[in-house]
Amino acid sequence: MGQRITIDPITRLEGHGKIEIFLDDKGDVANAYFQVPELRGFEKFAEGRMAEEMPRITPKICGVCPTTHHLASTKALDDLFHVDPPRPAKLIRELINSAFLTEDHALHFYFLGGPDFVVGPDAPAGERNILGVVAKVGLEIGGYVIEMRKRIRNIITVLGGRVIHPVCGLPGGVSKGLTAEDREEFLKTAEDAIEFAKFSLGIFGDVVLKNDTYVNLIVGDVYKHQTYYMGLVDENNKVNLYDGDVRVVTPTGEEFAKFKPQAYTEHIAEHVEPWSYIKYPYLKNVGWKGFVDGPDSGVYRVAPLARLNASDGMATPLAQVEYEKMYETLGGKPAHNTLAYHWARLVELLYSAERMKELLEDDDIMSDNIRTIPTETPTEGVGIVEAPRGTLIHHYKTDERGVITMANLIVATVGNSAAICMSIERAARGLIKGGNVNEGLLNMVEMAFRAYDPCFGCATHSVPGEMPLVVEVKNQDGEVVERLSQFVDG
Amino acid sequence: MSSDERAGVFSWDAAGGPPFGRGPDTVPAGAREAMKTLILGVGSSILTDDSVGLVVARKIGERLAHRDDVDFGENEEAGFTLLEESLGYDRLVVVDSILTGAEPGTVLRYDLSDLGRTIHSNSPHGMNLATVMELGRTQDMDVPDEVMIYAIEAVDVLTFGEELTPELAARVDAVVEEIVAEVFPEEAGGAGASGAVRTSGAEGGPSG
Repeated sequence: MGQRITIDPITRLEGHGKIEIFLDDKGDVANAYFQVPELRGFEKFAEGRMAEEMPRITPKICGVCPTTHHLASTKALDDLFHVDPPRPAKLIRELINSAFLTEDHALHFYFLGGPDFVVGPDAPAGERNILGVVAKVGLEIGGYVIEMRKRIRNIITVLGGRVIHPVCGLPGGVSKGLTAEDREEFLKTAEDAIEFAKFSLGIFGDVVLKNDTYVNLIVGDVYKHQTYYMGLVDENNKVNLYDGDVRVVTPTGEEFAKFKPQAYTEHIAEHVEPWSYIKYPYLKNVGWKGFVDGPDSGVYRVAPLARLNASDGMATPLAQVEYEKMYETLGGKPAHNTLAYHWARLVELLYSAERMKELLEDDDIMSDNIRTIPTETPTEGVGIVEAPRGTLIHHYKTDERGVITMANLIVATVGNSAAICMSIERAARGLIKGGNVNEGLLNMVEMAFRAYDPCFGCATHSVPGEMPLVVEVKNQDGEVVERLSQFVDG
Repeated sequence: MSSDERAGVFSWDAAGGPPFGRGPDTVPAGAREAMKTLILGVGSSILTDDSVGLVVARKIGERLAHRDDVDFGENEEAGFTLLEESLGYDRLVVVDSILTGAEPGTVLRYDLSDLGRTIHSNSPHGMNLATVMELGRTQDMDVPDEVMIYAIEAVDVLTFGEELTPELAARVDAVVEEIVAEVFPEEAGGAGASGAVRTSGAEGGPSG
């Protein structure tokens, strides 16, 4: 494109969620980049700490998905100390993860992604939020969501010790079992959560699937990327969000790889671009070919739609029905339509709720046998769980005393970072012609990345507490010709 | 008071009772004629200056330990939990970090109307304070009548670390006094500080 782009680190640090679109000499899109700040110094921060500290510290990385960090870290410690937790401990851990996924997916549908559909993609930006959902679907829905969330989080609080940063996970098991009273209450919660999930799928069916405009948006070519897909599966290749092997399927749905967590470095590599701190994971055995899709590009996707694509189905009955219905509507598997992430998320919401009930009905969960004490010398460990936003990998090495000498994390959102750039570029190409920026650009870009539910929660604590989306359009000389901000009055 | 004890204020009631600030160290329900205030520090405790809201709220807690009409807490999660934690209080004071390019330790004051413009947010968990408070109101929840937001200019919120940068650490005591003086004027100057310093260009302030 004959244009030199220089972005110094200071510019990058200001770029919380900044999108930069570069035009060529005709005023058409040459490139589009989505930039987020990358947190620095984790490895140094971790080095020298006792490995057992990691499950308590790593949840603090992220104010959004601390529970899955805790569990991935705990699983890495199992591996590190060469200890296999007893089955009851695994059930309790999976229950905590299922409760978290249920709560988080529900929150996304009603608060974050849902507004785009329920309120409408063409609605004014100021109405596309939970308040708009409440206004459209009914006031009582707000109370329903809040109450359900509170009860589900209570499961995490009781079993995890603390709701925000659980402390229950230990190498070889968990610190606390389940009481009969809690089990009874949680079973009611799980049953109500299943109804809640069905209700949510009902709203999706009524508001979205009965509206041709929305359906066309979902199944259309906008944001359609034929990528590889990754997710954890059980022994039957059904979706599992807590444990199992990592399975990768090709853009045409064939199994490309299936591996144990410990083998992730043989399959995943990280591409670095000079303009961004964020790394772009790709499939090592396909190779990095740039921000492009297709079977020759190592770009893969993670999170709900990717997990469903990478599996042969759901392990619970009601979710399986919804799984089949989704693929039937989308025209088969794998589905490449990014906006279908919203739908897949609701299928997983139902699965997680059903799974909570299954786990609680398993009498093993009441056993006192919740810990195997580690006796081996620690060496190296990898733990993988499925976070709401995708496959989360924790990898530690220690000396013989269990002091961390190396720590590497591949966080969930990063797994989709290349695809997010691709979706944004696709939207930009459609809406910028000859230097004219269509005012719908911001909406389309928003919808693209909200479908992925990208989580940069770790970097968004600062006031105003949220990451303002800023789109800058630059000409071939790098001058800003258009600047769009998500702020309603900005 | 240690940070662990302080964080304990915000442990969820496992029985599902009223969340936050109703622990044993708070005022009994019958004694609630006085206006109840919650001072809430927000941030991550392992991202260098991102923890400044937590640190300052903790210090305000120590400074006002004698007040039984004020509770203190720390929130490393934000989003929707801000609503849940503030229920039942008349006044919510949020202390957070901010990056505007001002001098480290500069205190900026916002209210919900300032945040209203981000009410439609694209953040990963785009439920800012204004949105969740409005949601609480629509649900007839007992949300605070008044919300004050203090944002403290930080230096580095992206590097892992449990200590503040020296520039910011040097300003913490002054920041505490500044916020106390504004929120609780009757307590101003009690710790021997030189008083509120609000101009971004101000230098000095108590060291350490």
